[in-house]
Amino acid sequence: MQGVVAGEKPISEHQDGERGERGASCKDQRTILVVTRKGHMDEPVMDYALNVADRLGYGILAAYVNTLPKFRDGGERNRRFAAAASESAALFKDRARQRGILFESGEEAGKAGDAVSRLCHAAKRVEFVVIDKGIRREEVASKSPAPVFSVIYAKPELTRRKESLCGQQRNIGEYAMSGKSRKRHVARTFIFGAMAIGLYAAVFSNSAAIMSYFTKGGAYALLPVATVFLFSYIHGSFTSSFWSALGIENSKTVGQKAPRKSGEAVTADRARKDARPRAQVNA
Amino acid sequence: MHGAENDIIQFIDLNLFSVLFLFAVGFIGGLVSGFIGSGGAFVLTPGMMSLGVPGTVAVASNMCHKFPKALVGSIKRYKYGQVDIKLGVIMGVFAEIGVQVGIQVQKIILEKWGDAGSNLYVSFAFVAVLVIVGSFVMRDALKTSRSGGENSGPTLAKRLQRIELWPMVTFKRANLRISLWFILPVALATGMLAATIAVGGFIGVPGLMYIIGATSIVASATELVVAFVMGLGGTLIWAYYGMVDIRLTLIILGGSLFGVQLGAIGTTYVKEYMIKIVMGTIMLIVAVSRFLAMPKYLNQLGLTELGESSVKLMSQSSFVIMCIALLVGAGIILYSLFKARRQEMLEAQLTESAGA
Repeated sequence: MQGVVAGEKPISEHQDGERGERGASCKDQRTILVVTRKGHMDEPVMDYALNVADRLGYGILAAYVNTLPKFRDGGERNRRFAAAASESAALFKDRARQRGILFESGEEAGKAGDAVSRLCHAAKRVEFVVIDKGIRREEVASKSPAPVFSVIYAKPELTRRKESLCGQQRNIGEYAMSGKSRKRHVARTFIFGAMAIGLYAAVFSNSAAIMSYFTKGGAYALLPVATVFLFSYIHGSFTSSFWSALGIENSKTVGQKAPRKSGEAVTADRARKDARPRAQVNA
Repeated sequence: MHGAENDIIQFIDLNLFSVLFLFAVGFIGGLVSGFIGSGGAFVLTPGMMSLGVPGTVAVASNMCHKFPKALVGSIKRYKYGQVDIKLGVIMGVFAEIGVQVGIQVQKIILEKWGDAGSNLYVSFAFVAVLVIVGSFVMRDALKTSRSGGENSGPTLAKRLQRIELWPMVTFKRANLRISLWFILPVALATGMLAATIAVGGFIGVPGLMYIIGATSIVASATELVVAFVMGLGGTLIWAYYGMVDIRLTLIILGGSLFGVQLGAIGTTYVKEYMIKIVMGTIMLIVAVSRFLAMPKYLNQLGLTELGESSVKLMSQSSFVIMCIALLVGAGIILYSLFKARRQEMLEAQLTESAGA
């Protein structure tokens, strides 16, 4: 797969010219390979990797795997992915530096399992692999020579805005990478809108026939019920995209306002849940 | 043949005015339901009847629009993590039993005291429930808003949750564990009220908040699931008798799906007590409206002897006030939605400029 190899480029190279350090560090230093297929690595995964690396004295190799390198949108997705990945890698690197952890990052393309296999063989001292949400553990585990951990955590939103500085850094790329652009909503509005108008036109131009069947009762009762289900899907999708296309969407803090936070509803004697991220191994 | 013709005659001819009216009421009703979990139906049924739709067809068509609306609303709010499906389905199933009980009670009253008696019972139920529950909700909302949104939580719910009575049920999303025996009466009352005044949520949502102990966000979102289950069951029964006018249903649905999305979006911006404020406000205004409708039925039963013209005036103002209730509710929702949204955008701009 040509595209896979061609798409591989270490971010650190074009960021601050630390060329060659990657190879050296991977040979000398025991490393944790952290893999994500998203532009932004989830914070709990980042924190988990940093904590473990700090404790064990390992280095970190972060891989941002672009799983759709040939996505047909004129390279727009690839550009956004690269922008988001370099932003996330910079943040990750900054944190690693603060804690004195050796850090490398790179962008890969292709399947997550293949990328892990490739990286593990290139850097011989990968002790274990930590995968972000969105990657199936089985897929990576079947190809990885090292044990694979996935990180379990409650909700990314709960920890997302802990540090305001990180919030600012994330936001710019987050919007760029969110993909659900206004354009997509406008397209959906038109598609579902046309379908909804078509359905309404169909019903009201044949209303006499429809009414005579729909009011027959008995087993015909299923007709109006099925009709409203169909309308609720088509027209519901239309109205949803309509408001999104107008820019009226849910609050960005929706995760923080999640009902789970209200501890008062829980009986007092129940123990508080441990919300820290924890790992699950492929055994 | 003759019967079939009669069947067709009972469905009205639609004109531009009636279409626009139903669409608009559908939109506002949807907006309120998306936000507080129910509502809108209490204006739609009398509204349709004022257009000349027979009562049963109005109720059936209204119910047939209610469950797809609730479905769309609950899916939207599920995405925001506000819906407890398990709680909604359990409530919905038992509320369905409540609906059947409510219908039987209605039948008994209809047999004993006739049409006027039945109407009086409905109005009395309206006024009693709305005044008692509505003022309780409103008082709590004002208390919470004065304390800046901090709430220690309902004490009754906390006590009930401590009672370990088999079978205990855990609701993960609502974050509570309570005995099924305390859910049952709330669900039955919701169903009974739905059968009586078409808006079960006026008991369902406060019940979920104060007796079961869910937050107002979860309660209003879960009520949409209850409305879906109840509405689907009810619609199948009405459609079995061929009472659903699909044209009316689809027009209302056309408006209400716009509204329900917006109402659901609104819940992500506002503080929790806003849901209680909107609910309390609507309930209390509707109570006034139904109170004004009572003299008509009292006159019919011969219990009072008010003048013809004053009774007519009261009946008309009753409907107008009911529309006002819905409009005020929608106004509060839209105002707080756009205010909070503007503030959030300003904050985002400030943070961005501070970061740059």
